[in-house]
Amino acid sequence: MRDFLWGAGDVALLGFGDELRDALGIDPVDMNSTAYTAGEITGSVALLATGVGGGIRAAGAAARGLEFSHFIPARMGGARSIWNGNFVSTATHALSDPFRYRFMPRSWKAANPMPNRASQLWTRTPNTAKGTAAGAGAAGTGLANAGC
Amino acid sequence: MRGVNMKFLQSITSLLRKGAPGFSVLEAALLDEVERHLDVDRADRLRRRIESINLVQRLDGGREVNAYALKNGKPAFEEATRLIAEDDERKLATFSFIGANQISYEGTAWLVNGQLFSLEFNNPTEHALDDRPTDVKLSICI
Repeated sequence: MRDFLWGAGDVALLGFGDELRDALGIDPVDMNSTAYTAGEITGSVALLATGVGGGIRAAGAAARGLEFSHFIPARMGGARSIWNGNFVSTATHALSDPFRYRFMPRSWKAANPMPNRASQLWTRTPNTAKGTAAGAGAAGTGLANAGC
Repeated sequence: MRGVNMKFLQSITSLLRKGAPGFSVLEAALLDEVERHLDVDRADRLRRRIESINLVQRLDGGREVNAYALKNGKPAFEEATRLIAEDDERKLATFSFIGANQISYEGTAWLVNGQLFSLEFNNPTEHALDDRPTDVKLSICI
């Protein structure tokens, strides 16, 4: 059980579990045990799931005052799904989508120039994708560094 | 190889740019025409506003052209370049012309906060930006 928990913990600590154990004077763990490996896998899945879950939460849901901002536009067949966009405020939508921006009042546009295209693309990128990538990156880093 | 690198560099910089630093030949010629139709005081105010523009954003293939005088990264409106007292959106002028591509255009110059803010066209101008318009007809709306 101890090896399993440290396997999961080492992944979550991105491979710095060894250093933590040394610093706290904790006995070493058996990194070759099946329990440690099972812990690593569990830790990786948990990190990935945390990233996906965080992304889904950040993508939002339909609500009053929010609009769905597509990454791949509906006119190009993009689905209205949180895997293809986010629920955002009108201002955020307009400032990340030139097609939405056109329909804003001129007085609003005069106070709010469009950001550059890189920023627009980043804002339009589904938060689910960002969360999944962050979770996968953390899990990969943890797996690569744990057990060393 | 060098050409490919240049294209790559240009596409990266276009991703990071907010727009152009000034008006195109076409837009500048139309604004000159607007200026020519205004009284001396307003023409001078419009000229100063045009000279203060440091960001031009073209949307929808150049059908919509928005102009900003940015100061510290924020849009600024100087009272000295105000043409009318009202802050609402107001038409400054309507115009028509023939582009170098022989397409006929109609459009409107708009004021916001009493100052020049945008030009809007009924057709895309992105392929006519470097050419002077011909047969310009213009009427002032303020």
